[in-house]
Amino acid sequence: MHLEENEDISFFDPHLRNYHLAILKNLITLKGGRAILAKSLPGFFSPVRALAAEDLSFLTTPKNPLFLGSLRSGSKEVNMPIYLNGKDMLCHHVLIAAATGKGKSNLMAGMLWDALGKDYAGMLVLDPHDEYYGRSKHGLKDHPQKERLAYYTPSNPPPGASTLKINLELLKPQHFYGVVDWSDAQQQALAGYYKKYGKDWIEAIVLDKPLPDDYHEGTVAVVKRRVMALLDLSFESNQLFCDGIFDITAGATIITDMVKEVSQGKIVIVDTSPFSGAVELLVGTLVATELFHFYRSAKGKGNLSSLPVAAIVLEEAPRVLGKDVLERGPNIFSTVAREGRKFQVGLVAITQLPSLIPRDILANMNTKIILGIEMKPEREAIMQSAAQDLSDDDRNIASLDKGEAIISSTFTKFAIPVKVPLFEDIIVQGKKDKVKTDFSELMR
Amino acid sequence: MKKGVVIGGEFGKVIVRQKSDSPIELGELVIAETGKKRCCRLSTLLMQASFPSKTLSSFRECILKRMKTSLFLTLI
Ligand SMILES: Nc1ncnc2c1ncn2[C@@H]1O[C@H](COP(=O)(O)OP(=O)(O)O)[C@@H](O)[C@H]1O
Ligand SMILES: [Mg+2]
Repeated sequence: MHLEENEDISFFDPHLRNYHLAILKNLITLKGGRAILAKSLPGFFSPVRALAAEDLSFLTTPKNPLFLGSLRSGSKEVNMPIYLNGKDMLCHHVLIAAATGKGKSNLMAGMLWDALGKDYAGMLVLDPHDEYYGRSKHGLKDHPQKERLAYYTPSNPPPGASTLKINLELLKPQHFYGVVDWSDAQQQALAGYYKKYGKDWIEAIVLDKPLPDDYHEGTVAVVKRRVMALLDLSFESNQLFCDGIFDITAGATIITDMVKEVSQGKIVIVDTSPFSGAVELLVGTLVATELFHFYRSAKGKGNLSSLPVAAIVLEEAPRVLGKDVLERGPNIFSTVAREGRKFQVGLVAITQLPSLIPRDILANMNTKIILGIEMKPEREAIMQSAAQDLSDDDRNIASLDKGEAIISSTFTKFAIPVKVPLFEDIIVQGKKDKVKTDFSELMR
Repeated sequence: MKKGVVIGGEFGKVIVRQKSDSPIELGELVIAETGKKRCCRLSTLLMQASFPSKTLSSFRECILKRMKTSLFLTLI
């Protein structure tokens, strides 16, 4: 030990006089292998020791287990898999929040991989980066049960996948409302066309067919221009041409197909990577609306309990759940966040900016998976709406490294620190397991 | 592995004196044994060295003594 000017000093009994204090927070009290909420303090001079395997016997595997990662102690991984009841968790909504590059997509890929092998959940994944299927790298297509995976892509579908073509007749005015900003008059014009021309309303707009009420010429022209741009339609010598994914003839059953697949417990990935934000939202809104209606009517018919939960995975969630967006009116995603639970439909919202999402919606997301977040306002938004008191965990969250997460959920007794595995490693492990089972079949 | 002993604190803020050879890391899970078992987690980085008042005064004395000595030496 040195002081200024490099002079030596030494202490009398240094190990007694010179030490570190650590401040700890009670998480739970363990009593006979059971965990109860911590309501008392450890006594004076109680010894503190490292975690041992037998301390964790209270962490049992729940029903419908969904694997999230291994328990983490600081930056060390503990050999203890952490599962949540996937059915409960998904229909009570999940928020995955982290700064860019901290491992949101990697975590989502791992969750999808695990859910793909199980039949309690069907999922609709709107994939703006086309990263989950694994077209040109590893991905969900490498899963041993890939027959439970459906992949829709607008161009060059690989074998087994489908082309994303949506029939114009499937579109309804309400699909457009949250997608771009319409004035009241424009919305009324959209509704007016639908009322008069029914399923041929888009064609009627493009072909300048008359509306019964007096709509301002300018409004109708703007509506036409915007609808044509959004749907990538063109018009020549009195004929309508479809240049994008929306089509006059093809894709009449695509949405019902997707809804059916989700309701059979499959994972449906929709590659929206080539689209502009608005088109992506239009496609997402269309499928999500039909999925929600399907489940809502299943509840009406009394057969909801025989269906798996339906989860909608949404990247960059504030685009549809942001305060500014919702000020203009609700959309299907906010409807699902507010009342989807009753109908077994949940959201998995992924974002780097949770502070943009209104408090009531954040509070409705009963499981929050928090990875590293450097920005303080974002950490605060999460901490204020978490299922456990995380007010002392600010520094902890700021210092989370790639793949290190904290899971705060109404379905856990405390905020569980987790190390999420790298997706590549899960695949390798999955292949090993498959080889094992294949062997066992040979030996029978 | 022993990590330290509880020397005080309040609810949600248990103060532990770390054993010098096994530092506790931010976010680490440790167990405080108090007849009943408890699972604690380090939640803040308040881990800097700190001194009880007694030690602090002897520390100060020690510095002063050294300073006097060096002053003395320069004078000569
Ligand atoms: N659990 C993890 N363990 C190790 N590395 C990880 C983990 N999660 C992510 N990474 C690394 O970080 C990179 C970015 O991760 P990604 O999931 O794409 O982040 P995000 O979606 O949050 O931007 C990945 O390419 C991977 O190399
Ligand atoms: Mg990502």
